[in-house]
Amino acid sequence: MPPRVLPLVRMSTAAAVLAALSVSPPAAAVGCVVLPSGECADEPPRLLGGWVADERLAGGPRVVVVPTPTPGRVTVELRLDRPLVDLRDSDRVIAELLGSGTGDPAGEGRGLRRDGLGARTHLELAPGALILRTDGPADALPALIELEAERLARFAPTADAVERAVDAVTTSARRRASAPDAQLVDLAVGVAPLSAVPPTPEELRARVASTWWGPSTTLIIAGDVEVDAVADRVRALWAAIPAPTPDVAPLVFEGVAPADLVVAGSRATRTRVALSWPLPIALDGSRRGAVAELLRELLVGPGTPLHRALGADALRIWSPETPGSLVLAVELAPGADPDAVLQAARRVAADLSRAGADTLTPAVERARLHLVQRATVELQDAHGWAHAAGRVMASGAPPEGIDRRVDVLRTVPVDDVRQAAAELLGPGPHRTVVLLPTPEAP
Amino acid sequence: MSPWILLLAGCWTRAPGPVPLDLAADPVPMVQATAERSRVDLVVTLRAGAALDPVGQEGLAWLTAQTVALGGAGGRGADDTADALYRLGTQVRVVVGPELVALHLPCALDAVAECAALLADMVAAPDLDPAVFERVRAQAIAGLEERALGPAPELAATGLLRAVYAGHPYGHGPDGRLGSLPTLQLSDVRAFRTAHWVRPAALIGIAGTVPKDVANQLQDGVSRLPPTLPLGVTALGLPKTPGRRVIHVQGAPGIRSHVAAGHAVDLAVDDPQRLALDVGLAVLGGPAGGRLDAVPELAAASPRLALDGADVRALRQQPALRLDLSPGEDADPVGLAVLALDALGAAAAQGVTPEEVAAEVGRRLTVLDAQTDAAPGRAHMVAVAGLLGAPGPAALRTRLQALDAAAVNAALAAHVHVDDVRIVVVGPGPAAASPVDLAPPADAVDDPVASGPATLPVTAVEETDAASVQGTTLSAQELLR
Repeated sequence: MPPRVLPLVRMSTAAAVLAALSVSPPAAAVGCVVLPSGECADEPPRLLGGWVADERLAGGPRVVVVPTPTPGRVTVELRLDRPLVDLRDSDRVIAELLGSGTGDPAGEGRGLRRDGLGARTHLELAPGALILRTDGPADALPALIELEAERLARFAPTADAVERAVDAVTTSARRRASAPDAQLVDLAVGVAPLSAVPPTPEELRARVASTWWGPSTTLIIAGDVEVDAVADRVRALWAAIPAPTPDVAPLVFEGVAPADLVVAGSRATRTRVALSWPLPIALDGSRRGAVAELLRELLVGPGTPLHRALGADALRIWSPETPGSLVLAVELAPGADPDAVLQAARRVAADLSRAGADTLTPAVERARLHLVQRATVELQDAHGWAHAAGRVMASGAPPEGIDRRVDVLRTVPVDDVRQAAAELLGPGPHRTVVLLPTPEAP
Repeated sequence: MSPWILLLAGCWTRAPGPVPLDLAADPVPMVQATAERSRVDLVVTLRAGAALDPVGQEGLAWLTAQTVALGGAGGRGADDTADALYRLGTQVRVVVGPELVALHLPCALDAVAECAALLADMVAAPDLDPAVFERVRAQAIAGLEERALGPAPELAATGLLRAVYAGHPYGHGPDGRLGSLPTLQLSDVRAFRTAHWVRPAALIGIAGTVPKDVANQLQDGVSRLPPTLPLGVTALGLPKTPGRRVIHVQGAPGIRSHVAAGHAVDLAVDDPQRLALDVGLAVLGGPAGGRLDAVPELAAASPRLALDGADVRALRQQPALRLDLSPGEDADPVGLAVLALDALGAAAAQGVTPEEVAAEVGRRLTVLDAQTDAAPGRAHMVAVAGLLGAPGPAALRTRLQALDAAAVNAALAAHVHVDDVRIVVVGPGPAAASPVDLAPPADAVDDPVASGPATLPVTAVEETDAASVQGTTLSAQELLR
């Protein structure tokens, strides 16, 4: 067939397409990368368009600024990285207050200002982190930085606002507990349930001052930005916030309590099981992080021995990203024996822990290729970059580790992976979770 | 009259879709939204959504798309195709809506040629591995069975869909019914694909900077789809839903109550009144709150209004007005629904102000900017415009900017009918003695037709106190069957 981009197949479709798209067809050259300008380039665009600013404000959060190839858009992410097991109820309430814009008496007006700026905030409770992520147009960035500073500096919620936030958090926790997949992961990593006593406004203010303005908090600004100008703006606004002495040490993941067996009921129709191993990934930063990523792929990636061992007994196999733990989760097919599935999974893990470098090499190279390619795909928008940056920094690596992550993944020796498998997946401690179908579960 | 003219006339639909026979053999159209980055998004969109499921085979479009995506491509086999995607660091994302099916493959730029070849083979030469089909069907059944346990808003949405589109192609969710899924076979998937995965029903979207030869390779590959006219079109006649009727759905014990109420609206995707109605409903009770929140008895139930099916991600030729309520534990859900519908009727008659319309239009322009700033979003909107006749980003912007309160109020007056609605109330059912067996009855498996069309079964009829609203009661399992 001759080359073509928009053949006039049918007038209605093609006319609509042309009118809606308002872009010119790419240049007719063959074998090149067509840029938005229509020019033909020999090389693909760079992964990142500039350099990263990374500094820690006095006694307070770390600030990272990075340009990404997303014209006209920015993502501002404020995140508190703590394992869920260490998150207090107050942190969840604080995140709700900050996210809804009701953290101070003028908060609702601030929410409207954010709407007027064309930005939207999303609150995410991920395993290992509380994240407030705001996406908006690049020209609103100065105002967004100001809003983020105000969020923390003027945090003084009223009792009514706290009561509403507690209600929202309780509802959210109840919803999570009634979702079998989330319940399985929470049990596998040992998340504590909400306490019955709600925090007071004073306790929340003290917690923000001591913890949220501390080394576990990171402000990530990614997108269509000029690094130096944005860094100056952050310094000017954020450095004015009084910096109390933090009461928490820098983040270290200790992993789950070992050798536990947890059996619980779940509002589900299928049995789910999980195995969870401690995964101390915050040791020397990116290298251990890469080893952990490779290990996760070797254990549960598509086409691995686990999939063959479980066969038709498993409806689904997955491994959620849980800092501090390596979790293997399985939803069983009807009639499958949970004990047999758990034994098969443990056998696969034990085999992996005993495997020699020769055996492991092809599997590691396959997983390595997958992770490098996936990183390239993920890091191409501000949203994805901010997410990946948070994940890398939560593992103790520097933000440049985002760029270096790919290099480290490419070069980490197979023997490092073998040693990690032997240490973590051997006959040592791990947690087993069995979630039985109980439709009456709350 | 020439039989050819009769044939072409028979193929005409309100939206673009089936095309004249002599044009069906042309290559699949391709749109490209360029962006300077190392990632490329390849999307093949087909007009082969759930509305084309035959009666008694609900879920077939969904099963077909999933089996195509996971069952191997171009003779590689399912395992080798999955391995190839794994090595490329990506996976296919399948979206099945009422009208459209999309296979989306994000990819690193340096691997785009291999990605394009895989996606083209997947669409035009799928292996349809029988084991994969069995697994996908089992997963779909498991997913539906668990949905019977909640959450309540999803059950209420399913109930409303079946109530307001009873007997219509939109009367079931994309993933089918518990009564139909076990009856579907791989041969059904093959037949559905042959009928609907055809060249004139497809469109290729590319977001990113792709070498020209790779784009052509993808177009050539997808254009191996048969150049035949697509069979079947979405039925256009909406069922009549006179009066107010209640459907009580008994969910799992302990489930929180939820109410969804509404009616279908006969407004085509390119009808300007559709956007006006959508904006009007958002003013009266959109996600950010609205006029209904000001009614003291309703505020605690968080009343929310929407034009269901207007969103570009799940577009329907005919949308539905939908009112959602989350009543407290002690509230009377039917009474609340009646109160909310009356309040909606009064608010629609009163109309909205120019300031309210301007604020909502501003919010929508912001969202539109965010969608179209991203190349995948821009390409997707263009694909929907091309396949369904919906306004593209530029036309939508123009219409939004031109919208005024008079147009919105005219749409509200013409298309909000609060006396002719279906009200779905999901609440806790009696405790089960043992883990529930949700398998469909044997006769439903043996006889697809006996499993029934996509209408609600009635197990009891009762009179409610609230405004003498007529009602029926059924279990969540019956709702999904």
